[in-house]
Amino acid sequence: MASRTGLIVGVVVVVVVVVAIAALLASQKQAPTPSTTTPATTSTTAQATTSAAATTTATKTITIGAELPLSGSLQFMGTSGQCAVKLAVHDANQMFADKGIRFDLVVQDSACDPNTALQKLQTLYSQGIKFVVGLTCSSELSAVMNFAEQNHILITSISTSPLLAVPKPYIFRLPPTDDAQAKVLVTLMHMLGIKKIVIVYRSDAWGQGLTKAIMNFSKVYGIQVLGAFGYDPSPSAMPAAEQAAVQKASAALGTPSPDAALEIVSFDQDGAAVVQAAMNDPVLSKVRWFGTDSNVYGTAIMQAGGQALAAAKFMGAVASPNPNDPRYLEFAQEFKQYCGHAPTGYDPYYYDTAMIVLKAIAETGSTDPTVINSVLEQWGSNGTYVGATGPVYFDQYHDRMYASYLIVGVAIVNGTPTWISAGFYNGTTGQITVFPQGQPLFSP
Amino acid sequence: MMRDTAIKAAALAAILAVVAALAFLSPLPRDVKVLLQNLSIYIAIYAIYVISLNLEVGYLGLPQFGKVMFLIIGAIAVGGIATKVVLLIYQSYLLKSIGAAPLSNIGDYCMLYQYSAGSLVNQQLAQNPALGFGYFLLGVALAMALSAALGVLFAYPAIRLREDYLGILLLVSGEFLRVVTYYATPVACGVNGAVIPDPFAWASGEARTLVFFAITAALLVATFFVFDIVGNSPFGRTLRAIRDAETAAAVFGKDIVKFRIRVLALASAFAGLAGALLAYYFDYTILGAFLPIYTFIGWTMLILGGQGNNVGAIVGAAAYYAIQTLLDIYKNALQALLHADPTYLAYAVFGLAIILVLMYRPQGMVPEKPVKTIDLYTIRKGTVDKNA
Repeated sequence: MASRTGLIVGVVVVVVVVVAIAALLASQKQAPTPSTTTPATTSTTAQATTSAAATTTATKTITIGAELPLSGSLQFMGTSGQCAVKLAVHDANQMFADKGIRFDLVVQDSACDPNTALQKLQTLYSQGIKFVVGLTCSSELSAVMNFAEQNHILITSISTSPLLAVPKPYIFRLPPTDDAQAKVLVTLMHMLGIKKIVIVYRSDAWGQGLTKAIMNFSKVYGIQVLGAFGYDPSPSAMPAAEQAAVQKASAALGTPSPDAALEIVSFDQDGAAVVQAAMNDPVLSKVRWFGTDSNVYGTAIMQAGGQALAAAKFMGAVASPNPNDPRYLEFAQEFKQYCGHAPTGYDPYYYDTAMIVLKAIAETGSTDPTVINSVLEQWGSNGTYVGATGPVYFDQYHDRMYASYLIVGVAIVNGTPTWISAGFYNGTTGQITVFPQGQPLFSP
Repeated sequence: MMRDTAIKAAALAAILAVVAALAFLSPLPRDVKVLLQNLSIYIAIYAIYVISLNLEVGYLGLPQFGKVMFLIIGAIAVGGIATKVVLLIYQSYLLKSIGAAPLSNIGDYCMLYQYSAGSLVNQQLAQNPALGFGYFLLGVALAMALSAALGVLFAYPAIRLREDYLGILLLVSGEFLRVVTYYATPVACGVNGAVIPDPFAWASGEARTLVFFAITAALLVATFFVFDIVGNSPFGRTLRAIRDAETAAAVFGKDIVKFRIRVLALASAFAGLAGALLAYYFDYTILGAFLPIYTFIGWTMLILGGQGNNVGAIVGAAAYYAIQTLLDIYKNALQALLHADPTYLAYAVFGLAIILVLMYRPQGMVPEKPVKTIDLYTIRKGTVDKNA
């Protein structure tokens, strides 16, 4: 009897829960919609009163979703990126107010976990959201690809893994893949007369992929890779793992020389451990150092060894529009006002993941993901959209083409090691322009 | 006793049928149905996971803090072994199509072209449902066998020790397995994650989801049936006796270690089944994602639902996902109300729920019931009848 009571309680709980979710969600759909193609599109009424009479204007509200790593290992990117996406929505609402369109944003934390990312995408979809921006980790993009394709959810992502350079309908990646970054780094090394390098890299998908790409491009320029040494990037392994990798790299390089260099493929925190080990190494402390888009502008790496970074003429490349481009300057200024700090790393890309979609919706008047997918393909082939990151071209896999990079380095400014913009790699011409303040970093 | 379990299993099957009707056939909007479909699959998979945890924690009192290990083993069985078997079957086809044989250089396959290879294999599996089903069964069988064996193996060094030592060993074992396999490319493409060919590629869209739900639901009913039979058998009663008074049970001649080993083997096998189902469901797995939080999600479900009974385990899984989904849907509205960042709201809500349940209703939503035993008169009568 007691067992039956438990069973009944169980049945009631399960049924109530399922019906409650269904009812709650279904009730959301009851709101009047001017467009039958987008259940997320709701109608609100904005009333404007004039001295003579009251008039009513219908405003179409379109909700888009964002999945960002607001917790987990890439939280530092996600929280700043969230502000960039909110800024894009804010800007779009001002730009397209005269068209009677208002955009709303629903943010979910994907935690850079593929399981969570798919669940959150399904939740967003159940709310009628067909446009999701900001997915950051390649693993989470892998997990949601099939669901997005099956249900026609248009996703704009900032994942950079070359592994995902495959056909992926409804998914667009705004930053270039890491192959492009590798090309820039090797071009920079070649320009500086580097002939042999050792690589210390974090042994995750990003680190392995970028390292392999650097090794491949090095062959093109005849740069010899004397060794690549991975380390476990988990905080529990720090700093012993980084120190061990640095020691191996030092042994592989043997003796320091002007044509030798150390490439540090790391994020900020683990990069700090690498720098601390390298600055005390008798060989590596006497050669040039190079970084990546994920450790330049880092605070931890600068605190760990700012003087050593400056002494090693540390430089890295971060995908970026030309810093002197008026559009970027406008974005940077607005971002600082809106978010309270200057944009770093991927912030302009997060902004563009949202803005390109919002603009396509506003200009076509369509909220059908299939239509917007075609529009983005067309814009991507013509470079029609020019955003905070410059003109956007997509290849056949919906990945960004012709990306430009800002060369960022460390120099002593007023006695303090400081991040400076040292140069600019033009993705269209393949040329590096050295800025005046970057000249000392490019000298032998 | 068997009849009682059969009734409960039939009731569970009926509920799942109602859920299927609601999620697949009802006139609800499509996007709501898609959420219900996928939510039902998550709940079914995690119910299997929590039922197996319940045997260890609820029935035996074993401190299973390494439960996530079996999700990892399930993922390895599917993404690391069964996938390679399928790649081997289609090796010559892949060599002809993309000019590379995946198994000849796993590193390159994982880093360069596993998505293309997976897509080609799916095209082939779509034309051969029998092979797809065989591949599914292979993954599931491997997951269960490996989990049972490794579950015992990892716990063995501390199986004779007190609960706290065993608990710590299991926790460490889960992390050990995650870290080692995450950085070993040959296991399941390491840090790149493994693309898993779809065993049900012959069904597309909603049909694929329906097939997956039907299979998962059938496996949940089977799991419930097995664990309910075990829980109400003399074996199950012994487990409760060990849990409540280990010394007394030992005095009565019960070999505690043997019972622990049997429970670990059985429960681990079914947790491995849940891991395999998750891997097939996602068509992708990355072993580094299986953090210890997945162990504690299972514990949360069990604490909310109620320990020591399998209905509670299922109710706990359903309640957890329902609360989490509702929070995800309404947290932006709650943000305006609370004036706080809702990112960690779910953690706070579940933490509070656990504290409240443990303080005011430690037995959970569905309390443990007294064991149903056949009375002595019936047993004697049966013996007399047999002898006659």
